[in-house]
Amino acid sequence: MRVLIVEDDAETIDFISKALREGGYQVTGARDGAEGLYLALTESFDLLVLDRMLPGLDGLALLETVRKAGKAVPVLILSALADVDDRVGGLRSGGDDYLCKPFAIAELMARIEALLRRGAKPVAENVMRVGDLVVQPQVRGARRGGRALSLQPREYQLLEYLARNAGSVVTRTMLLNAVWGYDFDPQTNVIDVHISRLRQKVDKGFAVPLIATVRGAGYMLRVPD
Amino acid sequence: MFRTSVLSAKTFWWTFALVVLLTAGGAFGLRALYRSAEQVLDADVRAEIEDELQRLEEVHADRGADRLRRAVAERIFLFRERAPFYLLADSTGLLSSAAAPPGIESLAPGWHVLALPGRPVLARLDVLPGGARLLVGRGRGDRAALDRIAGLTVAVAAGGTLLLGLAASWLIGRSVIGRLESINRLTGEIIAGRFDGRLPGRAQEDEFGRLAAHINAMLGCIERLVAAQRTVTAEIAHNMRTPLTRLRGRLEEAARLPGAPEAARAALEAGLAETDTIIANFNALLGIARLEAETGQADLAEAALTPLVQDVCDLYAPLAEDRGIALALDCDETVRAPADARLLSQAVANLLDNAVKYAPAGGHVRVSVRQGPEGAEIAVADDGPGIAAAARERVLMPFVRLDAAQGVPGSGLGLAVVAAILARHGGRLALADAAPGLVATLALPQPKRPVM
Repeated sequence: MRVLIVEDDAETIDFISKALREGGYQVTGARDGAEGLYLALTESFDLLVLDRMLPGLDGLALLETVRKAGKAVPVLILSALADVDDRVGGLRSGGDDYLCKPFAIAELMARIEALLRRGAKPVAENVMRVGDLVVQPQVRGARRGGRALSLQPREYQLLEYLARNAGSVVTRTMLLNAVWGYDFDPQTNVIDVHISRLRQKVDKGFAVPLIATVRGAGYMLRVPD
Repeated sequence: MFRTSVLSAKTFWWTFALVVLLTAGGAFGLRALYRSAEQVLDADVRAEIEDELQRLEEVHADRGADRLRRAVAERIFLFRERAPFYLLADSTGLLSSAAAPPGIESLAPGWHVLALPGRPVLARLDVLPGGARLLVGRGRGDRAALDRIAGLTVAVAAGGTLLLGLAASWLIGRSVIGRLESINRLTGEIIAGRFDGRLPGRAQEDEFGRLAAHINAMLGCIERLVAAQRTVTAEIAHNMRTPLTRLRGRLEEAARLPGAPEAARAALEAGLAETDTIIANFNALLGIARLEAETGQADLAEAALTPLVQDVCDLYAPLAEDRGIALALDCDETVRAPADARLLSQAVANLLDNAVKYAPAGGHVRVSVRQGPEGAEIAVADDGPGIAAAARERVLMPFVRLDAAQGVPGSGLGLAVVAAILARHGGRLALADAAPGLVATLALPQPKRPVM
């Protein structure tokens, strides 16, 4: 997987690149908008990480040019602007996700993974299977080992999101956004309490736990070998 | 900012009161004039009566009482078909040209108006030497017609003046209201968060023109200050975030290094946690600054509040249950208010976060949505330690934490963020005693519709 990072701060490019390389990605960095646009248009990347404020050419203008050129590559926008208007503007210009600086690398990695999986993700209404867990979007229900799980609506939504991203880390922020539509972080980690309830229902009494906590990052629905 | 009708405007009523006062004064003046005219008209009659009396009194003085009696009798006979009135009362009896009105014997000497049948008579009574009483009167002409004409004139003049005054008051009232209304409309917009409106420049240098100029100048100041705050906020955001991003990235990188001693890893993770606290506070402060630059209800769409509050309660329900706290909802589903759903959800989440933190194990948290007297209200009440009345204003300031908060995690920014979010909605956060505990109420005012 090839990732292009367009970001004016060399240090930021540096530590993002390191983390991505550790994750098995090939990384190319560009320090200004013109260079980033040239690379994005002439080479083939699986994902773009784009800083919004760039010298030379603004990140959103770059993005619009890339989209006009017919490139459907997923784009994650990084920005120092946290305002909701900026977020909406970024997504409207063709961005696929928006992450506000300063961010946790784990958050960035999880979102990159989610974006890359988006194309490979099952169709919304299709049944998903993770080991002996079956998630059925059509009836908004789930079964494990042939037994129906009695889930509250929110618990189902959490499980469905985890199942859609099975094998990848999802952060608390991503869960909060996917299930409640919130983009602020509550002062208390309320998501942890929801996950522990979900765990009671999904994993209790089974030899192989499916919901794993990924330290410093979030949660993952583990795909058994 | 509803349109003021002319009839409900003070200006109109004061102006009209002045007109009524002037009309009353005018009517009084006309009455005085009429009285003077009457006296002028009476002057000739009085002179004639005085001449006649003088003549008769000379007869009495020169030729005696019998001669006077005869002279009076002659005059009564001669003028019997006409208005003059004569009366002589002496020791021999009463001599009169007509039936004397009752009480005439006790009439005091001097001028009188006698109401004789069919005609008013102006008369003077003299007491002659020897005690005889002589009265000579003359008709005053048709005064009733004059009175009628004068009365009608006064009524028409007063009525006309009142009508004209009413029209003038209406016009003055409307003009003043029109100019005040444009000022009201503009200040309403400022409260709603729009600073770009200006009052139309007026060429005339009157008090309204000066007021408009001052308000426009004041708006310029506010607009510059808001713009400056936005610039500073954006600058801080840009200049602080890059180093914070680097710091966090480097710490994370170091914590991931393979083969690092466990102690070093723990220290790095503690450092990361502190960095996250700094970032959270930094974001909250920037958020407050941005919200404060956008105070008012401008451009907020109306939303149903109950689903929004229920969603936040959903988020906190398991946490409350784990802590043994009963979370109860009491929602009026019809309540709507202009709201930024994301911000308002955050405000309710911050309040619930606090309530669940401070309510004792086995305690209660009650969340309600209702229509208050001034608009929608969302209230979150707990039965925890509460906040002393004296400290309730203070805890809304950033970083203020009370003694009761010792040992409870939190940044001291939660309520400040809520207060800023409410200001963005043109509403306010009120803290009160829930006896026991604290009730935090988000008051969202009714949307103000601009005047047509």
